[in-house]
Amino acid sequence: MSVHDVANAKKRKQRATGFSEQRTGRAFLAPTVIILLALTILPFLLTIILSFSRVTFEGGGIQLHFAGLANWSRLFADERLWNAFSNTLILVVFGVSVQFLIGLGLALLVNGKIKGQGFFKVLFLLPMLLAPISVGYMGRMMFDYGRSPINDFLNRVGLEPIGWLISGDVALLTILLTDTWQWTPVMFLILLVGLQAIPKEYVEAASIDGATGWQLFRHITLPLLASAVLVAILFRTVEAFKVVDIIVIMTGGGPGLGTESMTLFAYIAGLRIFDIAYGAAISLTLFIPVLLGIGVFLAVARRYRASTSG
Amino acid sequence: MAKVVLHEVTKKFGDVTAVDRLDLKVEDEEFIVLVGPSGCGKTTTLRMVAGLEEVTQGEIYIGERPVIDIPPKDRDIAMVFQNYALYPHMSVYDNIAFGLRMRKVPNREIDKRVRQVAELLGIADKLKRKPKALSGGECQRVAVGRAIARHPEVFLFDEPLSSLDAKLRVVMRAELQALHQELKTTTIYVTHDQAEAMTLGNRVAVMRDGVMQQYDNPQTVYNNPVTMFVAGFMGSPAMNFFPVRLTGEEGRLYVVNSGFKLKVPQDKTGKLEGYLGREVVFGLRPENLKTPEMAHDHNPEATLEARVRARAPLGDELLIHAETGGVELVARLTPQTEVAIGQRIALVAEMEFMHIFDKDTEEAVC
Ligand SMILES: Nc1ncnc2c1ncn2[C@@H]1O[C@H](COP(=O)(O)OP(=O)(O)OP(=O)(O)O)[C@@H](O)[C@H]1O
Ligand SMILES: [Mg+2]
Repeated sequence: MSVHDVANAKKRKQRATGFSEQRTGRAFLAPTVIILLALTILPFLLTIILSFSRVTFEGGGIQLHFAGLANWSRLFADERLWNAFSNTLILVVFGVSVQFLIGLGLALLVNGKIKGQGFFKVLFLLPMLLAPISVGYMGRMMFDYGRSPINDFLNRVGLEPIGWLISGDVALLTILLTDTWQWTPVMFLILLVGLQAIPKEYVEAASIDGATGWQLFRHITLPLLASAVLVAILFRTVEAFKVVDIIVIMTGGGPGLGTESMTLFAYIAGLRIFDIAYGAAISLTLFIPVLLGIGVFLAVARRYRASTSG
Repeated sequence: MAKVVLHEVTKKFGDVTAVDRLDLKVEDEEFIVLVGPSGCGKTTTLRMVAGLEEVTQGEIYIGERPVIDIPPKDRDIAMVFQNYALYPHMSVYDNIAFGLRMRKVPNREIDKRVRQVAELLGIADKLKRKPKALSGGECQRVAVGRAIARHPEVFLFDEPLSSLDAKLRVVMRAELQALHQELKTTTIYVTHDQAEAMTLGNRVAVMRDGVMQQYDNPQTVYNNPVTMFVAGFMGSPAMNFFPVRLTGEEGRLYVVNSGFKLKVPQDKTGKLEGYLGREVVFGLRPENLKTPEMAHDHNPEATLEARVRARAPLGDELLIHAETGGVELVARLTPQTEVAIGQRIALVAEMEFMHIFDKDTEEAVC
């Protein structure tokens, strides 16, 4: 055997072990992948199929009949869709940005040198620990027209009471406020953990280098916090698109359709009116903008990170 | 450039006194080394000079200026951190330029200085890289570059070489020395490596438990340690210590234990008179124990017998661990010496290099 042969044999052997290792690896992954597929892809496919069907219930079972684009053309002509969509978008865009800014502010505050850090941490996290249903009920009590402490307060200082939940101009804002109250803590928590993971030497080195307040934040803290910011915004955006629980409790989507979100619309159409196929189509229209939004956001974030880290 | 003075500086973390009434004066253009075992307060001291740690008590001057209430950025110091703390999201260029940008130095001047520094440190071809893509030695150079680009009054180094391998450490030591020759910036350098302290410092400050034990040039610290701690800490392998009794016969002094009786040289007897008949600690460095052939000396009054327990041939020298009178000792012999484990050998003690320490205070008597 020449040297060449030896080298080749070695290479072959490496390739062989590489292959068998890969196969073992796949075998270990298989159960997880199968379960994931069964739990996510299948229902998703089913929803797509449903959206192109007409559903009948004859003889106790469910029958699907192919209906072409019937559900879809009806849906895009439905003004209720565009109403729900714009409501949702308002809640997502304003909700997530306001929650991000407040959450970041609080995280910076708690991460700094303030006394009683632990106390504030718990205090800021409390709303997150409540079930959305209870937050909804709390919101309903707080913002009730006739008997709420808020309107009572306004009354006492000589202001007109506000129809927080019954006025078409204000109801969506009230939902936004309640949502923010509940979900700012998630932002706060993720960003605080991110802040605390930044080694303090960077900030110290920069402060010796001459950076102060805003410069420190802009050039050191923020770039090093980028991953946490990404996670926080992504996580909250996806959640916010699905907002439904506090709306159901506080306004039921009213007044009129003033606070109806996409998810609530899909729920009412699919499970109250019981037009399952139509409901499926609605939930899919929610899915597409979410996916698009995330895609755009990730692309922007990736470019930012590429420009700041190696 | 400026001198740095610490006056009775104390730092407490709750109940822990990390630094205890430290007095330290660093002359202009001097390179001093703070050395001591882990936890003795070196980093804390450096951080107080930098302004990253508040001073519990005492005063610090940089130049003529008291700086206790001055924030780090206005102290005109630069610090190199133990783990370098290079900004991970910035290129090498931006890392070095950052301090200048924060100080609103004009862009052309920044560019000039960054390139100068990069040239000086041999990292000119790495300016576009991110710290992630650098080796340990390169990171170290960038960290130094970041410090010197600003032309500060004082450099503070916190164990900058400790994460490098032994070979590179020796190279970087020489480079830092050359750099100081060139820039002459007042420097406080922290390390727990006594060899590094000996090679780098104009003066060496040895610390223990927050207290400064000795502050002098390296040779003096090595030859005339003022405490047993300093004697044991500086030098490797460490100085041998023997519990002995000081006895006198016919005007001559001897250090005696169950294994040996060695004569104290005449010029040392003066300081020892008060200890006559008392228990003291006798110290002798490994290089001051030799075989009779090496020492060209067979004087029985300077010779002890020991049983060899282990040998460590290091190539250019042979360390032997031996036992005499129930005490372990280390001797540094020439590599040609033939000794076997278990063998009894004679060792000549170079008594002119002996040290005597008070047993209770651990302070040097002579
Ligand atoms: N932030 C802190 N809070 C409480 N104790 C501290 C703090 N920083 C340091 N200490 C204590 O102060 C003492 C001195 O610490 P310091 O970091 O100055 O030691 P060092 O000499 O630099 O040690 P090393 O060689 O391990 O770096 C130690 O006992 C340490 O535990
Ligand atoms: Mg330290």
